[in-house]
Amino acid sequence: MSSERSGQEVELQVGDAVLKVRSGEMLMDICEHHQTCVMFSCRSASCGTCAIVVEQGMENLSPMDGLEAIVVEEVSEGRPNVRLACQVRILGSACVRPLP
Amino acid sequence: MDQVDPVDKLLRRQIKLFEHAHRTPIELKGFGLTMKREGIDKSKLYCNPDFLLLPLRECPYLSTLRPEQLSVLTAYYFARAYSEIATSESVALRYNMEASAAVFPLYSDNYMVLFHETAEEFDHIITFRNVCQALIGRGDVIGGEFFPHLKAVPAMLERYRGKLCDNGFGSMYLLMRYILNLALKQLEGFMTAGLDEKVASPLALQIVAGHAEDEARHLTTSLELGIGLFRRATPRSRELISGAMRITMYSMIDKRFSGDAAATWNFETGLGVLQRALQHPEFADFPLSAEALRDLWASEGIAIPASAEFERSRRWIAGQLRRLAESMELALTPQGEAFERYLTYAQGPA
Ligand code: FES
Repeated sequence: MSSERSGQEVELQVGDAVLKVRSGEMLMDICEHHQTCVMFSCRSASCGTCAIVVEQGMENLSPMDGLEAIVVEEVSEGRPNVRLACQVRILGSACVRPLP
Repeated sequence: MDQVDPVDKLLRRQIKLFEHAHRTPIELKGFGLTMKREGIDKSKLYCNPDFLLLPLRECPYLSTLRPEQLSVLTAYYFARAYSEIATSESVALRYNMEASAAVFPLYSDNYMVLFHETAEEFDHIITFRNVCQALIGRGDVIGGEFFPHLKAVPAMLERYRGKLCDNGFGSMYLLMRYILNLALKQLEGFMTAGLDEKVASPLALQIVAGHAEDEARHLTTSLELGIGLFRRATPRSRELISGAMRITMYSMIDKRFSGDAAATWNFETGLGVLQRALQHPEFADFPLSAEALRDLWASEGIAIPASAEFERSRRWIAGQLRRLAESMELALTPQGEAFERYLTYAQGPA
C-alpha cells in the first residue's frame, strides 16, 4: 500500500452509491459500513461472493495476490477487470459494481 | 456439448483453493502451545468486550470492573468460543470422510479436498484444546456434553442415514456443516472486530486470523459442494433435505434475531461466560453471582445493549441464510417477530 496516499479523502462509486472514503481502507469494510450492494461471505478470497467489476480506477486499487487471482480466474469467466472486494484496498478514486 | 456441469466447475475451484492451501499451509498448533505456556496475559483483551452482550457500561457492578477482570472475562469468552468451535469440528471429523467416500472416487482430487479438511480440523482441535488449557485451566471442555445443541447435527444425519441417496447424504452433511460454519463465523468473525490492536492479545488475534482463513475455505466448500450435490440428489432426497434445512434455519433465526438482545442465544453465551469468569480468583471480591446480576438488570430496567459488532454479525448471518435459501430454492414462511427482523437484515440496503 502506498503510504503517502493513505488517509486522503477519495471518491468511490459502488453501484449507484457515491461515497467519500479514506484511502487505505479495505473496499469490503467500506461496503459493509455503507451497506452497499456488494455481498460478502468468507472475507478470505475463497468464495467469490464479493466479486466486483472495476469500471474505473483499477490503477488506484492495491495489487492482486495469488489466492485472489485463483478465485478471480474462476468467477470472472474471462471478463476483464474483476477483483474481490474483500481483498482490495482503495488507494485513490474508483468506480466498481458487483459482478453481474 | 462443451457445456460444463456447474458442479464440476465448483469442484475445479475447490481443488485450486485446496492446492493453494497446500502450498501455503497454516499451522495453528504453535500459537496454541505458546498460549498454553503464557496463560492469561491480564494486560490484554482476548475479544471485544462489547461482543459479549453484557451491560458492561450500564450495570453499576460491571461498569467498575478492573482491566484485569475484563481481561479474564474476554479470555473466558475466547476459550468458550473455541471449545464450541472445536466441538463442531469434531462432528466434521466423523462425517467428512464418510461423505467424501460416498460421492467421490477413492483418493480422487475431490475426495482429497474433504480429506485435507479433516487434517485441518485435527490441527484446530489440538490448538483449541491448548487454548482452553491456557485460559480456563481445562482442556477437556470440548465435546457434545458441553454443547448439547451441537448433538442435533449428528442426530439428524443419523436419522436420515439410509433414507437419502449418496449425493443426498453428502449434501445433507455439507449443508448442515455450512450452518455450523455460519454459527462459528458469527462468533469468530466478529468477536475481535473493533478491538484496538494495542490492547488485544497478539496471540488471540493470530489464532483468529489463521483459523478464520482455513474456515473461509470450509465455508465455501460446504455451501458450494453441498448445493452441487443437492442438485444431483434424487427428488425424494431433495425433499427430505429441504425439510431438514428449513427446520434448522427456523431454529437458528429464532435464537439469533429476537429484538430483545437478552432473548438471543448470543446473550445466553455471554452470561454463561460471566458465570464462569466469576469463579476466577481475579473476581474473588465481586459481590454478586451472574444470576443475581441478571435479576438486577431485569428489576432496574437495565437493557442488554446490542453492540455494533453484534449487529454487523446479524446482518452477515442473515445474508448468508438468505443465500442458502435461494440456492436451495427453499421457501421460508414468516414465523413471528424474529423472522421479520431476519428478513429486514437479510434484504439489506434497498
Ligand atoms: S467474501 Fe469470499 S471472496 Fe470475498
